[in-house]
Amino acid sequence: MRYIGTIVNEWRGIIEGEALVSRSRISFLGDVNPKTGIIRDPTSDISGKSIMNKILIFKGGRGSTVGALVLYALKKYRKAPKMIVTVESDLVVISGAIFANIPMITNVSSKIITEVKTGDIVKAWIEGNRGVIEVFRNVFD
Amino acid sequence: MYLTREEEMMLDGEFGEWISKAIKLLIRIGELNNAERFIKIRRAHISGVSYKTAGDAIIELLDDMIEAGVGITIHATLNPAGMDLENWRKMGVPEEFALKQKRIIDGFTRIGIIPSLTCAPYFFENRPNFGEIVAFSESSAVVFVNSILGARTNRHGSLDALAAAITSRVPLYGFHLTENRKANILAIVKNDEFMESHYGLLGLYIGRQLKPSEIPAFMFNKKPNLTGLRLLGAAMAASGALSMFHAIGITPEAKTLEKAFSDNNYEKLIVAREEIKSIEEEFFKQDLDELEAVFIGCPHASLDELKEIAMFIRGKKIRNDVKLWIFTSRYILKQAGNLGLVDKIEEAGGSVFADTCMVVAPIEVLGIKRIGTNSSKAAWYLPRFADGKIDVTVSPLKNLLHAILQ
Repeated sequence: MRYIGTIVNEWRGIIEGEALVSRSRISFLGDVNPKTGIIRDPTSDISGKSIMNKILIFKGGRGSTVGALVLYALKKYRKAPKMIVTVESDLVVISGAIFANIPMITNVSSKIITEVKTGDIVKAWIEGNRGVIEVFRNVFD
Repeated sequence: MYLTREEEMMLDGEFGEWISKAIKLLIRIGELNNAERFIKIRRAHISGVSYKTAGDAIIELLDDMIEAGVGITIHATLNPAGMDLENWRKMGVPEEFALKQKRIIDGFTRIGIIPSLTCAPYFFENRPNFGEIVAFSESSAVVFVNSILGARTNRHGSLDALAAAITSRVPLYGFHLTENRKANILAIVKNDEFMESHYGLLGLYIGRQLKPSEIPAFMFNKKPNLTGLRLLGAAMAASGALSMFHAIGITPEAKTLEKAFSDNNYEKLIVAREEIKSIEEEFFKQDLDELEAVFIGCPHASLDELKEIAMFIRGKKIRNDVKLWIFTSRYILKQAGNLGLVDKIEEAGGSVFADTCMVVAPIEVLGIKRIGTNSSKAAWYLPRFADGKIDVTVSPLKNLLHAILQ
């Protein structure tokens, strides 16, 4: 499975990691424990899971505008996701990712949040001016 | 994106490292949103002030900016902090938290931001004009200035609002442009029996259904008051990422149904008491008998709300085992004091705090477990900050006050 999106910020080479996929929108302030990186939103489909070092794939941003600062703080304290992939492009998430230097792709087809499963192995790279995400199913899951 | 000579110099670092860093962030945001150019602004509002939400990361950023000599020249104001600057001990805020909080406010002030410490600066401290392009963060203030004032702002995050304040400009796109300010969906609301808190529940309902770029136009049976509209807008921006609404015949860009929409091709949605009830049952506890505290003022209470509370509880007493805390801005607190409203509330056993609110103060360390509020936004955030250890009931102000009187 391959998906194409808009590059929010540049990176070099191939990023590889484990997917954490949510069909919901996320408010980084409130929904994520900033000290542990664990999703604490009780209504979330990834409640209780850690975003640390994951390829975090979700619908888009929501809620508090302080989310940008929370992303920056998560990065500073090494609890940030390895990469962010979203369907919708919310300014709060985008500016947080740019400022915190977390690689991000946005405007990806919404199929990604239904087809890709948490635990899948994801690779992402830049081709021309587009970001490419390729998914390898984790067959042992 | 087209850059003026001055903007190129900013980017090249001729005005310092932070201006270059800030304009780089804004250029990237502009490119992603196909902005053709920048537009100069005279106002910004910055969120991310409370030590609880912004943490140590903001302290280090501010120290760095002060060292680099950052000086903001436009009219920029600050969101609430994590405590009342004068009465934080009475609130039970820990000393260490207070020291860090003061350092954050001092840092923001030293780079030129007015420490208004309110999420509702549009009443007095920072009120944009109709049609004016501004850079506001604080999701509830974004909705208010777009919808109620007809000023124009995108849904800025703390960092890009700060970058806009530092550079005195924003990339021109999104809600700045008239064609993007038309409604997509008509919500016909049967609100004859609505109390103020029901508008917040309506906001949660709508916020979950719509995409961030969409704008609902509400058609109400009965004209809501400003408190209802503020609770509505704040909740819409908590459960969703909405930036604006129209209310037909009420808000300035929707004087008529035709003006709110670009054509006749729009969806319709009918919302009655039933939908509101179901969202209330889905998210919140509904037990008023065992409340340990009632919190009012999310967004910060207006003078009208303080009057309403004071008139309701004057001469009465609330139970000793319950807290009634009302949060507002320092300016409104002063006016309420002049009018004798604060005395009436305090005599009945309540407290009015400024500079902070129930969402950004460290409420979870105070050991309060069962909270009542009329604000769906506050009810949405409070349990999350406490990792689910707090139960919140959403109810109309009068029912809450009635439940805690002796």
